[in-house]
Amino acid sequence: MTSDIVLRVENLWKSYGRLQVLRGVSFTIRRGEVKVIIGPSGSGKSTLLRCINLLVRPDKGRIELEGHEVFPHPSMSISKIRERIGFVFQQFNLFMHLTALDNVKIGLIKVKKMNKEEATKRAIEALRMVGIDESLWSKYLPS
Amino acid sequence: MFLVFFGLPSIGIQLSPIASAIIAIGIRSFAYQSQIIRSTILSIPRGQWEAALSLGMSPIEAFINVIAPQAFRTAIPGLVNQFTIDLKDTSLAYAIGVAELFTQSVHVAQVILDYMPPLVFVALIYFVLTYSASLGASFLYKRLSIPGLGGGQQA
Repeated sequence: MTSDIVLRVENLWKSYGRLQVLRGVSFTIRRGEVKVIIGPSGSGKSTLLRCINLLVRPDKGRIELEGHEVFPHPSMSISKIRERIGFVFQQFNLFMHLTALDNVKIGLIKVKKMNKEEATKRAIEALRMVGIDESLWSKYLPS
Repeated sequence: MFLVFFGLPSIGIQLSPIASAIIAIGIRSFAYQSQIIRSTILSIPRGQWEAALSLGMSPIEAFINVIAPQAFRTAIPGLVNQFTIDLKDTSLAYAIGVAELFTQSVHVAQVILDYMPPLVFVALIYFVLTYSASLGASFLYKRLSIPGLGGGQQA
């Protein structure tokens, strides 16, 4: 069944200068499946993930997300693709000028065009889920 | 300033002294301000761009929602500094015959035959203007400071 393949990566190559990081990586992920990528530091785990998100442009290969081609010929705009992929950075990259709650809300409001009340509700639910309670919602990132 | 006032007429553009002074000081200040803003935009960590883009924002949305608000705060001290420099540079406009603040004080001095009071008074005006600008700036800086990034408290 092809329909439950969420992500398909075929023969993905990426090199930085003369350093080859990804040499023909292929895998598929089905709906509900959890896959773990393990490797020593510098082995290209992050590069692979960044390629899927197109934060890094692969050299060659093919990426398909829910049946839509993402690379090399995106069938939708890159920001639409990224909208559908959750991404957590190693250093988190939280927005320093926003509160905890606003950090969660900004994507809902600016990208998903959700109205503010709805976004606040959803963001609060999400923060509660990870155990961040009311006292921290309006706090900024500590230095 | 000389170039704008004395130079441009030779290619057929004649401007009043005051307009020349405004344009000359404006162009120079623009160059500095653009560099101040450029450097603060570049000072925002790359990760902030990547985070905004990975949320699905377009580069323009990322700039408006994430980069600019942070860059503007860092730009305030530099911009105010530039403002005070420009303010003091206006006195150079006397060279092309603009009766600006400083020149006026000299005129007054020549009428009352005493240089001290008008000059001190003018100095006071410059001081009030620059000082209130820097007060306004530190107020802005505190208001907009990014908690956790520091800076706001010292200002």
